[in-house]
Amino acid sequence: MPNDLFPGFAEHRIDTGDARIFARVGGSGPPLLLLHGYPQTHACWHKLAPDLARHFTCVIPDLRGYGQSIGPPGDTPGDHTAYSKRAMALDFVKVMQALGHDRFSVVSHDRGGRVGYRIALDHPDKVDRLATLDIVTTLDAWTDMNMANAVGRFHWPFLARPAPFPETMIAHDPVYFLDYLLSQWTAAKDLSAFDPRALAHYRESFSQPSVIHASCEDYRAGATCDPEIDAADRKAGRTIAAPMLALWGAERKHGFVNKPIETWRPWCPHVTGEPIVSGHFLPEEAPEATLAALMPFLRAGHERT
Amino acid sequence: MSTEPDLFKGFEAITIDVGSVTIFARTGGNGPPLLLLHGYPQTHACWHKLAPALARNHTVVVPDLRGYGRSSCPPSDATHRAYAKRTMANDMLQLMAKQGFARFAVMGHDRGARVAYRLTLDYPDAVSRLAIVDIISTLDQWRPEHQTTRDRIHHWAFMAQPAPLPETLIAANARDWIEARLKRGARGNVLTGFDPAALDDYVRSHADPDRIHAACEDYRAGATCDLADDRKDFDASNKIVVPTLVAWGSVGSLADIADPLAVWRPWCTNLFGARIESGHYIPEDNPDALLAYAESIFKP
Repeated sequence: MPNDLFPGFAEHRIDTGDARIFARVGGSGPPLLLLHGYPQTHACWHKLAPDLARHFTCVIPDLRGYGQSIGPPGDTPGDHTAYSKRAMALDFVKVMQALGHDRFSVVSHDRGGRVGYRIALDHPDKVDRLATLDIVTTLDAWTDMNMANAVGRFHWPFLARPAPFPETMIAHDPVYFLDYLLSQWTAAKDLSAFDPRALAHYRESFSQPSVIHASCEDYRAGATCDPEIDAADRKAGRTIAAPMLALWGAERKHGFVNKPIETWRPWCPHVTGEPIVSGHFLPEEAPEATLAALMPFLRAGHERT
Repeated sequence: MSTEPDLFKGFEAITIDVGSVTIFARTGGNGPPLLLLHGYPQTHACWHKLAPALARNHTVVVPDLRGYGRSSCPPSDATHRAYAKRTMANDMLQLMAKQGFARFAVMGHDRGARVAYRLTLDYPDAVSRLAIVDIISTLDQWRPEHQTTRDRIHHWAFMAQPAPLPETLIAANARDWIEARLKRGARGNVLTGFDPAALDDYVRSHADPDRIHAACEDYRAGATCDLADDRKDFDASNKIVVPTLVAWGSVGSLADIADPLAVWRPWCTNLFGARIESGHYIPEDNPDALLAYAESIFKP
């Protein structure tokens, strides 16, 4: 476990009902929740955490079923609500509540980004500011799935196949699959952006059958209940009230929508954002540029002048 | 090899050099020539229930596509042209020419159907009749309106990943993968519709690393050059003018498409349709119904 990646941070394990969430907590200032994506863990934030901790109380959890967080079995065929982003969003409202934070900002990447915007939509009174890294909504991502990007996003339909098919395919050599995805989604198309300690942690985590299964359930939810919930919000005209910053990797070769800000605008009329010179893994490929974009946005809500 | 006499009784086994590859085929019967093309993850063996009946009125040629079954696996390159449907179509043209047939009917299922329509577009003089079983064109396959069922695109996008990702995952789980693919398309999601000897042939073929790679290249071509070739014909309004049967399974790959014939109409001027009670693997699931339609379209 990479304690040395988060020096001075405390470890917490918090029950949320059907999940037990692991989180690192450190720093001082207004509360900030950092949510990782697939196929990673909370460790993806290790390059940003020291700087963020100087201004914020950082809460850095593993999503349910990922890393050291324990999720529900998720073994009901056809029902993937146990890994819906709505269920995960509720986890983090409860985690933050348990840590004494009724209202907080969220910085969220990849699958964690889907949880981030879901918290903002489901619990608008809880979210101070929302930043998403390299995503559009699940609904928009499916709508945009086409020839040009389906190859880049093959893992969406692949991981969403019924259990145990993708689990079986991955489990024979999980590290091979993990390393392939990590390198495929970076700008350099290799593993050089990842700290060896973080990489070792991802490999150890992703080698656990329970993590492989939970992450497949995450994508099964992403193919079923998550876009349905998104669509219901669109139909009802619900929008994200919190100030929102959308960042994305400018160097992604494929697999991402062309116009992220335009795609986000119906969900958040006041959304702002910019490309970062990076592949998909902004917090690890371009930590300084990511931090430079995040910090003014996050601190704007807390200037007392 | 010991299973073959059971599946294609009285058929000859031939191996023909067509230039860059050798093509294995079973041939039998009497009458005008008819070429039968299999798909993925199968081999020529998928026609074993239909071939004997069709052989009563036709000289039936049942090959393995390049990279499949007992045909050879030529090296691939970054263009994926070695496994383009255009290249496979040319194999088939030469195979038939070497059998003495300059003009013939063709029926294809799945990947083989893509070769069949490509053959008809590229060599209109060579094809007398065409039957397309349970596909829409590669160009149409990728149109957003035909991607409503996400399951359907998963193996296309997966197999088109850069080498060696799908090769590595498939090789580690070959039988699981093949059986999952077959079950996915089969009626009731069970394997009981497949003859054990045919199933053995599929697994034997697709457990071989060279053939796993070849099949992935087939799909990489499907995501690149095949698509480009289709688009060129579509944009130029090149049409298939010979009588064409499009057959689809009631619970097959086109089950979610309201009117499969409407999808084919821009490609074909002489089009007939048949909705058959079946899953995707019609030649094995409901051979009698397919035979009836095939005989009517191929009737000399």
